[in-house]
Amino acid sequence: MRHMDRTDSGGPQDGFQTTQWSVIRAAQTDDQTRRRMVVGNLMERYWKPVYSYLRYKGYDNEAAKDLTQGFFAEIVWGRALVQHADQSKGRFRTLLLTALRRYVVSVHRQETARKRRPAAGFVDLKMEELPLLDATQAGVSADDAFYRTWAAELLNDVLAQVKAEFCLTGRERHWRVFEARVLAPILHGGEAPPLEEVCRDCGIADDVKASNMVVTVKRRFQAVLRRCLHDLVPSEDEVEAEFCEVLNILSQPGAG
Amino acid sequence: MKDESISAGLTSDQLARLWSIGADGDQEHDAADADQTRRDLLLDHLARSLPPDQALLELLPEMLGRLSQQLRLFSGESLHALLADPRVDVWVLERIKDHAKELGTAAQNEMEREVALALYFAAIAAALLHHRAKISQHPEPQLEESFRTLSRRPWIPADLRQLFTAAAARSSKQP
Repeated sequence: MRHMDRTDSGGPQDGFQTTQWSVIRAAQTDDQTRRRMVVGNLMERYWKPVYSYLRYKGYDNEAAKDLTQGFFAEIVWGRALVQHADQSKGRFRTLLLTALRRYVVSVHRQETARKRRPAAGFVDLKMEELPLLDATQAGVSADDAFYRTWAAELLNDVLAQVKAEFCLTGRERHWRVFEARVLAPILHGGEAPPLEEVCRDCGIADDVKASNMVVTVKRRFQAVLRRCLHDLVPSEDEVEAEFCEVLNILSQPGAG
Repeated sequence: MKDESISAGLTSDQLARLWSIGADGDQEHDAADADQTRRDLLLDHLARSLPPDQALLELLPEMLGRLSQQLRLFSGESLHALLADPRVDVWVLERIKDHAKELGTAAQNEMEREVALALYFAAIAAALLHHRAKISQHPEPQLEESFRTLSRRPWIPADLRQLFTAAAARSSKQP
């Protein structure tokens, strides 16, 4: 089976992946335009965790949005947080959270949130009001909110990528089966519907095929999540540790 | 910024359950899962029709009459139907073979390459069976071995397995 008459040019074609740290290193330059673009991208990626943290610190929607803009403008950009970020000293999200804690303390000391808003906003983001995490539950801290919002954003990216992959390759039914059997029970509660019902709804011949379809999507989810985590850590060896660390954060009783 | 957020407003428990989907597991399903994915990929390819032949399209102005006739003959026919139909010309099977070769070259992973290879040998097998034509440079013993190997793959549809079995038998009789 190895003699298909093809050239050697048909080897694996891995796409170019940009790790988050390589993005950050790209910002460590004197080129203002480039730095501004990278910080803008980071803001787009991290504004929700920052905003959630601020809401849990007691700021209302408008103040939290102002402070989010202020944090990225004054600290991430103004004090060149990205310029001094060092991969060997830990996760970028932890660096950001530490800086955010200090920022909130300084804001509290000095002036009200509204006065700190930069004249035109650092980046023109449409920051919708986010639903608060399970706020009614006791013990949810602002740090929890930051990490959980960060994890939720990452999960959104992963789910969107997996869904797109299956839909673009004509395997929408795989996604529908996964959605019915795995996602819906998590998102909306309740038991997973019986396989026979899923087969009937999705036009699948038998249970075994439907079960295999679920496993196929799960494995793709695992691969995409790990690829995303790989972007956040210095080496492949640390992907599993990162996975477990985030699971641990999400599973802590205090985290809700 | 995304308009649609699947996980917005979820509890930690819900997020942890979502995150846990990423844990390694279901190892026992690996083999069956891989075969199912191969089967899905192959059926996906088989359900499609041949893409337009770029070389022919470029000659369109001078070949319009003949080309339009050829396009009309096979437009919309799935590869599965073309491979099963003994009336399909050898040149169409050669195009399926070339198409499979392109799929193999563009494959992103071993599984996609295997599926493309199955399609590739299906075209060669169909030419051999339906027209006694050898459209490949591979020596007979290698072809026979490939046909036999593919005829035993559980993820290949039954009719294609029969095609490979018959082609293997035909190859073994060749002088």
